[in-house]
Amino acid sequence: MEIKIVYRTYSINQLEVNIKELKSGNEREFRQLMHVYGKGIFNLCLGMIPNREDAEDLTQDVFIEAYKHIGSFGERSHIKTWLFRIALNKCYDHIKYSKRQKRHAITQPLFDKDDNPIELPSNFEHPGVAMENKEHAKALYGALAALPENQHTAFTLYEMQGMDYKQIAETMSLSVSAVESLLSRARAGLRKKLHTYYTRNASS
Amino acid sequence: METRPNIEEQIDAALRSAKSIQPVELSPDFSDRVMNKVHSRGKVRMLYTVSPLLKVAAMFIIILINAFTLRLFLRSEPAQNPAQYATISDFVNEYQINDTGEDVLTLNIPKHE
Repeated sequence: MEIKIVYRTYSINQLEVNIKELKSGNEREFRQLMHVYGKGIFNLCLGMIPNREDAEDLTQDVFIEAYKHIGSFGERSHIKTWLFRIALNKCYDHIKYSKRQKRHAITQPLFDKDDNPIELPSNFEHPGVAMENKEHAKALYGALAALPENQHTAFTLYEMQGMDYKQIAETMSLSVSAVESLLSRARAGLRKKLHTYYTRNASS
Repeated sequence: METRPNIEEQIDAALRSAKSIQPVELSPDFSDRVMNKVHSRGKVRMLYTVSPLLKVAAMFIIILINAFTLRLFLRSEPAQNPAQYATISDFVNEYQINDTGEDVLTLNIPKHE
């Protein structure tokens, strides 16, 4: 009996990525993978971390990780989903690391009362944000960073990446209703945090 | 102080700003940089994969040396025990100290005047 293994090919904008070739370590195919999904991953990282340099470093790390572990890609999900999951994990690690660094910073005043719900990103440098929106985007990113991880992700994927509920559910390994709930809580949380932030700004 | 509608407007503007973010292109040399990193990391990984092998080899050599030494030690003839003498006279005969013994005795005994 002959067993035929069929490898899927993924096509986006008439560009194809051959998983079999990727798994065999074909460099040309890997470059093709970066060409097809690089921009999406980069913009996802920028959505989570609003700094061009950091986001590009993270995108590099995502593809290095993908190159190392492509053999373990089981094809149960779309390769884009697989790459997005790697990217999200990298972003979470980066955010946790940055928070830890801030907590241990010598410059942090000892008795700094952190009752402000929003901490504006210090190194905000998002090339996709127009100058006139910069201040609002900065406040939004600050509020997003104060949200729980999964709400932050759901909001970024929906509002910035333009994914639908189903795609978000697949990327985050959740049900569609769970995504809806996350998005609704994220919006409510953002409103609350932004309200406090703008009220404080107005009174100061 | 800003009025409530103003604050609500600002909140809406902040939330809307998410939609207005434009997609950004990656640097043109992005793929080259990733491939360079992939290859350089491969070399580093090679070094790391060799080093545990070296450790195991070194341990194996040490075990071999120990085993060889132990085997040599166990197979070698037992060391000659110092002779056991049944009596003092045997000892004296062996070392032929008959005469000198007397001298020593004589030398050590104080003379009575």
